[in-house]
Amino acid sequence: MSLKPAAEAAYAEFVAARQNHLRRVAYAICGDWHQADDLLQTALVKLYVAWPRLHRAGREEAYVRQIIVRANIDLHRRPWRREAPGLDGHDPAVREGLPVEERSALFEALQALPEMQRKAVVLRHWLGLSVAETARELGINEGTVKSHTSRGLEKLHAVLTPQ
Amino acid sequence: MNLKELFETQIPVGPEHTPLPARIEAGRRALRRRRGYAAGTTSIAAVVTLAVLTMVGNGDLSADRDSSPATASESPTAGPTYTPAPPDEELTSAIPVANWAGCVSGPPSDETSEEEFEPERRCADDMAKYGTEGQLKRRDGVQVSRRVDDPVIDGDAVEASVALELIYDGHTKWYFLEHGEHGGVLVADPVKDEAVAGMSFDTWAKQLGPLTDPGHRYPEMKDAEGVTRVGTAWYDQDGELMIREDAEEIDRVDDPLAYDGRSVALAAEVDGTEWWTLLSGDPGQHWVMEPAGDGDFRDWVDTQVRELYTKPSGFRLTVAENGEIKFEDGLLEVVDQITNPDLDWFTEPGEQSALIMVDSGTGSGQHPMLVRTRNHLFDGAIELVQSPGRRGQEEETLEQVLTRLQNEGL
Repeated sequence: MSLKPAAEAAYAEFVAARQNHLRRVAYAICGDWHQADDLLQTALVKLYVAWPRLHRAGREEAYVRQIIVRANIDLHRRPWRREAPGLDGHDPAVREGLPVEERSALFEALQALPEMQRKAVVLRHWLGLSVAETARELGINEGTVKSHTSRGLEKLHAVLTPQ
Repeated sequence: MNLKELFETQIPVGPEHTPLPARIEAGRRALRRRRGYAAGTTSIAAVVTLAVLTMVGNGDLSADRDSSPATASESPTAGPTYTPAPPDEELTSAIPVANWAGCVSGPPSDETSEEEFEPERRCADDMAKYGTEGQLKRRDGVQVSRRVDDPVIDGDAVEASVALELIYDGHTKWYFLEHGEHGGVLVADPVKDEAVAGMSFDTWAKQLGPLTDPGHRYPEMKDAEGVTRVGTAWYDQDGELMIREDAEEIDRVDDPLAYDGRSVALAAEVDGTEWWTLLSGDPGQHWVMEPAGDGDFRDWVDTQVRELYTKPSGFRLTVAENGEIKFEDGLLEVVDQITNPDLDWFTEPGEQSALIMVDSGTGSGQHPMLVRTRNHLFDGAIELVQSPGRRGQEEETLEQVLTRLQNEGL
C-alpha cells in the first residue's frame, strides 16, 4: 500500500528539496549525524503516512520540524525508550562511518548550550520562528522561550564575538 | 553578528543521505502498518476509542480485531480504530513466564537481552509487544479486556502505539506500547501503583500522550467532589459543562457534534498553554484535546467533527468481477450498492468505488460506506457514521447519501 502516484511524487519532491536543510537543523540540535539521520528518517516516515492531510494544509515542513524537535526531546527525556534497527542497510551514517567533522565555532558554542537554550536559539534565530511559534514547538510557555533564547544568545555572543 | 547567516554558512551539509527510494519504501511500510491489508485508518489525536475484547489464547491481536467490526457501526465512538496486520510468527516458548511481582523470571525473549532492558520493559515485552513489522503480540494466556489505538498525540516519534488493559491469572495490568525506532513501553498496575490509583483505564489512556511527552502534559485538577479531571473542561455527573476556573476562554463552539446541546469545542489557555478541546456530554464518549495548532481553531473543530463522522474502518471484503462487494467474515451484509458513484474526490484514474449500505445484523440499523478498489482489490473505505444529532430521523437512502456527498464532499 502506498500513496497515490501524484501524492508520492509530491512527497519525493519535498524530501529531495528539504532533507538537507531539515537534517542540518536536526544536527544543530542534537550534535550527532547518526542521531540527526534517525530523527529525520523518523519524521519523514510519519510525514509519508500523514502526507495527504499535511500537504493540503501546507504544513509539511512545520510537521517534520516539530517531530525532529520533539523526538529529540523525547530521546533525552524518556527513560524507557527502546532502540531499534534503522533502515535496512540504508543508513549512510552507519554504512560509511561518520564523516570528519568540520566543527565550527558556532557549532561548538551551540552544543555547549543547555538543550532547551540550544533549541530556542535555533528555532528563533536560524529558522525565524516567532516566540509564540517556538513556544508551541517546544511545548513551553512564551516567557520560558524568551528566557532560554536570551541566555543562549548571551553565551553565544560571549564565545563568538572577537575580543 | 548575523546569527542566521552564521547558521547557514557554518552548519555543514553532512554525509550522504539515505537514498530517496529507501525513504519512500520506509514510508510505504509504515502506511501498510497503519492501514493494514484491508483497512484505511487515520489517527485522531487523543481520541479514545475503546473496544471491549475478550480473548484468551496465543497469537496476533490482529486476529481479535477481525471479530469486532460489527460494533463499529453502533456509534461514532463504539468501534476501535483497528490497524490490522498481516499474520506473522507467533510468540514462541522462548518467551519467559512472567511473574507478576518482579515481572520476569525466565530467559530473555529473542529480541531482548538481560543487559539491554530494565525489568519493567522486559515485563511489558513479555506480556505484549509489537513485532518488527508492527503486528501486536500477546503472551499465551493473556486476556485483553480493553484497547486504545494510537493514544499518543500526533507528532510523537513513533509509527503506532496502543494502550492495552491486560488480564493474566486474575491480575490486571495496563500497558502502553509504541512501535517505531524510538518506541517505548510503559507499564502500570492499577492496584499497586499510587500514580494511577483510583484512575480508570480510560483516563489513563487519555493521559498517555502527555505522559510520554512531558512537554505537553494535559492540565489536571480535582473538582468539587475530589475527582481528578483532565483537560480544560468536562461535563459533570449532571451533564453540566464545567470549565476550569483558571482557564482563559479564547473561543468556543457550542454543540458542534449536534448532541442536543451536550457537546462543546473550546479553545482555552491554562498556565500559558492554549489547548483545543472537543468533548461531548457522555463521559468518555468523545474527548479530543491538543495543544493549539498553527491554523484556525474553527477549522480544527470542523476537521475533528468531519473525521469523527467519517471514521475509517477495518473491514475485510472482496470485490467480484462485476464490482459487487461482499464482506469476508459475513458479519456485515451489503443490502444495497451503487457501483462507481460520481464522486471524483474519492478516487483517482484506475480506481473504482462503490457506495454501499450495510447491515450489521445487530439491530442497530443500517449505515452507508464508501469503498475504493483497484484492480478488484480492496484499497480503502470510509464508514459514514450517522451523526447522533440525526438519530431518530428517517434513514437516508443510498441515493440521498450520494446526493449529499456530491454536494458536501468530505
